[in-house]
Amino acid sequence: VNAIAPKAGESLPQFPAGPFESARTRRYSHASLDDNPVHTDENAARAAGFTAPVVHGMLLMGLFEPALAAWRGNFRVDRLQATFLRPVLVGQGLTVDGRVAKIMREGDDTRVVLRLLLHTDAGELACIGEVAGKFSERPTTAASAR
Amino acid sequence: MSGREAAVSTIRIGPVPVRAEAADIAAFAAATGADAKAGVPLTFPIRWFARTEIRDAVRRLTGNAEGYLVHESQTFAYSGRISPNRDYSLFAEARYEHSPPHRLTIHGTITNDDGSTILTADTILRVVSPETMESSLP
Repeated sequence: VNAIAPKAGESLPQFPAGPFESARTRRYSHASLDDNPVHTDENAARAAGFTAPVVHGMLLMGLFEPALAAWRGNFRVDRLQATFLRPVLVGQGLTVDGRVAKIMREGDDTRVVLRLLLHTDAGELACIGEVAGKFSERPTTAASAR
Repeated sequence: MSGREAAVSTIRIGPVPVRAEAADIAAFAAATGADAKAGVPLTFPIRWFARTEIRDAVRRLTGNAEGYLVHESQTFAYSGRISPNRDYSLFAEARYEHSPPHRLTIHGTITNDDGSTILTADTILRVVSPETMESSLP
C-alpha cells in the first residue's frame, strides 16, 4: 500500500468491480436489509421497466471503501457522499476511478478531498462521489485507518 | 391539501437503539468487498435506516404512496468511528413532498450513549409510480 502523501491532481488507480450477479445483489439485500425485489427478482425488475435487476445504489457506494483502501492505507475517511446518476444492472461491469481534488495540511496530517467516478463497462457514468478524510504519515493499524 | 406548506409532511423518528453486531458486519463487508477486519464498513449504517421503525414511519409519512423508491444521493459524515458490538441511538427526521417530484429526504443522526453525535446520514430518494418509472430514469 502506498504510504506517500497524496498530491493534488493525483489519479487513483482504476478499481474494477463486478459484473455483479444476482447472487451478489441477494447477498447485499440480506446484509443491508433492503428487500426491494427490483434488486433481486427478474420479474419485479421488468415490471419496473428494467431489462435485469438493478444493483443497489448503496452497493455501488460501498465500492468506494475497497477502492480507497487499494489507494492508501493511512487514509481515514470522515465524510463520503454519492450521487446516483443512472441504474446499473446485474451483469454490467464497473470501474471506480478518481482524483485528488484538494489537499490541506493539518499538523502531521494531510486533509484530502477526492472526487470519485463510477463508470459502467459501456462507458456510462453511473455514480459520482466525494470523499474527505485525513491521510496520516504516521503508521496506523488497519483498524484505525478510517 | 392546499398551499405550499401543506404539500410537505415531516415526521420525527427515534430514539431507535442500533448496534453493529460482528456477524452483521462480516456479512455486509463480504457483500460490498470491504475489509471486515478494518472495522465497521463506512456504509454499514444504511442498514439501520431499513429497520421496521423507520420503514413504518416513512409509510405513514408518504400515505402509503405506491411506487418505487429511487435513491438519488447519500451522504455520511462521521465525527468518530462506529464500534462493533456497542449500543447507539438513531434519530431521524423525514420529509416528503406530496407533489412531483415526490422527493423523500431523511436526515439521520447516530448518537453515543452520552448524547454526542458520531454520525449524520442524509438520504435523498424519489417515490416514482410504476407508470412513470421508465420515463423518469436518467
